[in-house]
Amino acid sequence: MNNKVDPITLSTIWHFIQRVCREMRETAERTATNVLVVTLHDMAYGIWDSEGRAIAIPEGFPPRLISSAFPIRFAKKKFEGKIYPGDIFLTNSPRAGAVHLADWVFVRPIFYKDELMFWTCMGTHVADSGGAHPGTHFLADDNVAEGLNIPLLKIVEKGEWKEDLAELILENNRLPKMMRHEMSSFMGSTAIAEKRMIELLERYGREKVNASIDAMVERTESAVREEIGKWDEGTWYSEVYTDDDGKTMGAPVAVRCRLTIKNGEVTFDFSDTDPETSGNANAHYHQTLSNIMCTTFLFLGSDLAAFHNEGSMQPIHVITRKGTLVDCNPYALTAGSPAVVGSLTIEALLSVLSQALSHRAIAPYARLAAPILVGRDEKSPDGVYVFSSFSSVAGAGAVHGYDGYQCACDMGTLGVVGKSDSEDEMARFPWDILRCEFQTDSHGAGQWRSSPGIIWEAVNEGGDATNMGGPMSGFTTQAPGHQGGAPTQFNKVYKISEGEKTRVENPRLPIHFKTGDHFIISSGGGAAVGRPEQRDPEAVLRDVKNDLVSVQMAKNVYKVVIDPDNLEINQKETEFLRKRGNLS
Amino acid sequence: MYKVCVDTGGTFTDCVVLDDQGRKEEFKSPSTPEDFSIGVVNSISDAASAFSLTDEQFLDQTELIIHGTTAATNAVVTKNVAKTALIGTKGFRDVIEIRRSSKIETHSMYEAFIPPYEPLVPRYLRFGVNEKTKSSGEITKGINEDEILEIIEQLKKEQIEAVAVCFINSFANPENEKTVATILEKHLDNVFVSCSSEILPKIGEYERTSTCVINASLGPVIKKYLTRLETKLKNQGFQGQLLVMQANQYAQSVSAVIRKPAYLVGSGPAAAPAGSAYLGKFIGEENIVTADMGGTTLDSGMLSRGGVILKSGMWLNDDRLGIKVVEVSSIGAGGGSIAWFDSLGLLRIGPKSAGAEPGPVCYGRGGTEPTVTDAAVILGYVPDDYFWGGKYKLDKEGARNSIKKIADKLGLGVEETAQAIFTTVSSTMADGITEITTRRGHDVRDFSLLVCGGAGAMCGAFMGGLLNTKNIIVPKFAASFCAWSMFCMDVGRDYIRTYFSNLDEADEDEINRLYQEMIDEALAEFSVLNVSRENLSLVKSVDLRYSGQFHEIELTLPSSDISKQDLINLKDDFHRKHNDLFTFSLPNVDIETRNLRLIATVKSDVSDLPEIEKTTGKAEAYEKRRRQCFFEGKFMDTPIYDGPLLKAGTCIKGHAIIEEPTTTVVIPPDFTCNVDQYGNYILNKEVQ
Repeated sequence: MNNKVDPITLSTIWHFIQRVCREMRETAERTATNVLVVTLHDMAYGIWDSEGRAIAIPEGFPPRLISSAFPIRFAKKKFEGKIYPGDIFLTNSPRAGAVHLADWVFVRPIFYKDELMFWTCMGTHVADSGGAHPGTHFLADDNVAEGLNIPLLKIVEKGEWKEDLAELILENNRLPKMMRHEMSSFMGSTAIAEKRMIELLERYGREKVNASIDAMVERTESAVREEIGKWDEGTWYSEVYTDDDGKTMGAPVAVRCRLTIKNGEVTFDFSDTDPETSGNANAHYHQTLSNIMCTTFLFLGSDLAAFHNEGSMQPIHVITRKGTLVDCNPYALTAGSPAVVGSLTIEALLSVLSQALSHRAIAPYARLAAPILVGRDEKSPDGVYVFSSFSSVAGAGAVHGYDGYQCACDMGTLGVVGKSDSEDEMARFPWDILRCEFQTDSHGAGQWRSSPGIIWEAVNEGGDATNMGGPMSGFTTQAPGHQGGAPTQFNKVYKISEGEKTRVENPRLPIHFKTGDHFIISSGGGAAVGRPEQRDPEAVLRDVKNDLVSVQMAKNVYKVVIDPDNLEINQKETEFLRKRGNLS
Repeated sequence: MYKVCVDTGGTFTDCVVLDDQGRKEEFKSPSTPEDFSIGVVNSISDAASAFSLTDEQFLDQTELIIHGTTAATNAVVTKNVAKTALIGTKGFRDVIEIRRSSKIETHSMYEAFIPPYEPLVPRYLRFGVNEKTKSSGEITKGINEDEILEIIEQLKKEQIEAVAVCFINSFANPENEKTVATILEKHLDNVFVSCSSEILPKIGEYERTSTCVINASLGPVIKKYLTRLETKLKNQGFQGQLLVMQANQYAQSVSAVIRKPAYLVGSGPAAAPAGSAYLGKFIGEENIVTADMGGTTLDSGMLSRGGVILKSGMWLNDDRLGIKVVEVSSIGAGGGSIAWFDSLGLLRIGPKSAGAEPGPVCYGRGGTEPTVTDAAVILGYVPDDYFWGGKYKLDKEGARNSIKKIADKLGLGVEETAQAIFTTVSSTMADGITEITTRRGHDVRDFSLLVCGGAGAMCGAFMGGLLNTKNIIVPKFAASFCAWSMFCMDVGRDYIRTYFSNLDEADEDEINRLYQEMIDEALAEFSVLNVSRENLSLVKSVDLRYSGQFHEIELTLPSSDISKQDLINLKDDFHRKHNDLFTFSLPNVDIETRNLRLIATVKSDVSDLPEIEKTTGKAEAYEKRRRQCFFEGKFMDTPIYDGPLLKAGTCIKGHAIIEEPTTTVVIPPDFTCNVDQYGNYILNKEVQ
């Protein structure tokens, strides 16, 4: 164990670095104009050392948290000898470590007295990234149509914007004014990190800071090993399907995972996963790695939540096969990867880990059903709007011991994303939101049930608009529950045009709306843990009273008979039904 | 005549009495959570006895009682509130349960095993009404009275005590909410009705609904409590004025607080920053960070350029309150905080605390885990024979044994470990203070650190040293500074109106009209205090943001009528402020106005601070004894001074200790302490 620094200094330095990360997030959230950043927390940021080792992995978007090390290492290699204080690098290319073209990553080296000491980065999903369609092109044939590919380049050198590059990028964007603002915001958050890390170095000196970081990495590794050492050894297997491959509707694809726990280490083997497709669902290795780490951290307990860094990853091994959905080739299409294969990867991980650690079972969140509406809007600075919302997305799956946390939405983000206020959305976009509330009987039933599904309806008050359904899923396949708990419920999408309501068969394809058309999303809840008939009848009664469970569902699924007139449990019939269930 | 301040906390009720000569006496009695008014009356009774008066005589001679109470905070946190229903827009009845799905605002992303959120109003008591208000303010569907009457029947059946009314877009037009409130009040007796457009008229249905629900659910509880207290006091002869302290640092009349009880939530820690504003005027400091260190928590607040910093909203566990409150950062670090090792083997102090019972090990009341106070006893800072003015003898040996358990794990001696505990807690607290200073763009080196609470003076120099604050102020009555602060509070309230406009196109006439509306509202609320327009002090401000942003920056406006030039000046101010806070500005981007804010206050009648006797003599004259105290890794022979005897002008060089009856001031080596004319201790670090 590293003993170069006293425990008090070590602790102080560690908490300081964590606070720097929080300040980065706050700066981006308070200054950005992109709803995905501000209210949905769709960000990845942190501090890495000069070698690109993760020092502080804060809370943020799981596919990007760990994978941010890849563009950092790439910048270090590509610009070796030409990296200066005040430089900022930008990329959205998966070949340079970004997740998909919609994710722009800003990387800044942090120098102290002319020595490169740290790296920081801020990455997020932007509202437009060029390409054939506004927002993101989910039905592209190749990566050029998918969006503007920005190779890792130096966008700011020694504190000065490289205007020619910025112009080139923004000329190829439908929201150039907004994106210039966003670039300032993200780079501003990295400037905050630089300022604070220099303050830290000035207070404690290089040697103490470096020694503290080494000690923290060592301590974290040993704590994670100790925790995994308590887990039973063995091998577990999971297989999960999504609706389609991102191009061919109705052709499900699978992610498969084999977990082996042995000698205080875990290995996730995804080799049996389906091959990559010509659709948009593919994920690069760095995204898969990031999802694996963040999901595993959930099972390590909240004690360690604040400490994760490079050390946490040492006992966790990942095996993938090149050319598969979770480790695709360089030019594979990735527009829908975080939401589709990213979520699927997390579902597969939850399944194997919940089998291995039954007392810590975590059931999948509801599958994603959310609008990404694009249309013209003369009031906005760029004349175009991109209205992304998570308001229709249902909540968390159940965990062993608790019902699902209400509306901590989206499996692919491990519940990090939030929702906007409908009032704010109505003030910004030409859509009038008519309803957004829980639906009866929409959850995954179990001893511990999921959070309910949601009904969301809006009417188009602007001109022609299109929903880009790329990230939608859960219409024909379900995520599994655990220990007898029900799977996720199906999502459904409807459109009302000229008074006629129709169900949208393929919500993954663009849906067009004229003025006055209604868009309805009916999301199913997450999955459950434990058999429904083991649920406490009083909890079922409470749900019936709150109109989350119907009297019919209480009887048919939970085996609890409730008198609809006085809302009292019929104990005798309930006992009979539950006994009969046990016998059968 | 007397002025009395009673501050009800979770454990103790502090009572401070000021007489006509400015003399101050403090009293303490246990709080009575089953009915907090009993504890208030008991503490006043203690005060009366101390002045050799009956309760009736004392109250008859009392012209003002200012009351700070934890009753509202306690009620929300324990969910011990009125049975409340919510009437919302049809299709949106789950706003308070769906919230903004902001799991990471209240929990870690890596926490999966968290119980589901339980809203203050369960779903079966949430009703949707067929109404429509557009975001432009246009009402396209009005209220159908029959629909409301049907709901009223259900409310009666459920024996509802309070109703929150919150419609989508009511911030833009409150008409439908007001109509429903009128119908409810007509048909329901003794039911508290709160409209969201009244308590928080700003965009954002989640925060507005949540705040309205909290307000409604507290309504009957606070009304019952304050009415009972007022009656008890009146029955005992009190004819003066009873004011209640709010979380926005202002006091308010009972009648006004009863309408908006949400303003009481979180009011406890709001007092110290307000007190520092008052003290700052006398000692010439307008930039102060307050650090109120009690047994369990450190609450820090800020005074910048003479004004207390407020924030828009706070979390109470999983419930959100959207009104403006004093910006306070609370962390679990205090005199009773327990030392422990985390899962990485790092020494941590708090948030778990030994509290008042059993208290630190040295109290000898059954505590077994080492605390900050135990460390202070080992280091010689806290005398084992002069705790609480000598009322209690401390168990130094017990403290030593408990700290040895930590020392063995660290491989250090007991004294070195006690110092490590002290350094760690000071460092944790310094970090907590940067949450409201550095992170808000304030350079803490431009601020004085005012330390108060029972344990503040002990750690002040260490915290100030870490933060590099300009100096450290230990007020004369550090231990009861919060209660003392309530005497300095102005009567007031803040108001808000939404005003969306491009700043270039903002209409000063409309702005002035909205401000007049708020002033009229203030005058109506203050009418019980006989306040006229001339007595009102106004602070106007506006929330601005770059076009498209989601968050605003608040900038001050002149208190007079707003002119076109004032709006032009705002542009430069906004760009500059944005750059200061976030390292960049966007001069070519439009600026939008969002909310107009007003703080209306009436100056309280506070007497001057009494001065203490001056001296030109040496500090040694007041040395009462010497003992060994541990500084910088070794025991040093340390002079101990008797605080109550010290005179203005005394200069004490560290290392030294000043013993006050209710606190201990630690002056480490390299620090100098000067006693000012009011008896405050001003500590400065010597420049090497």
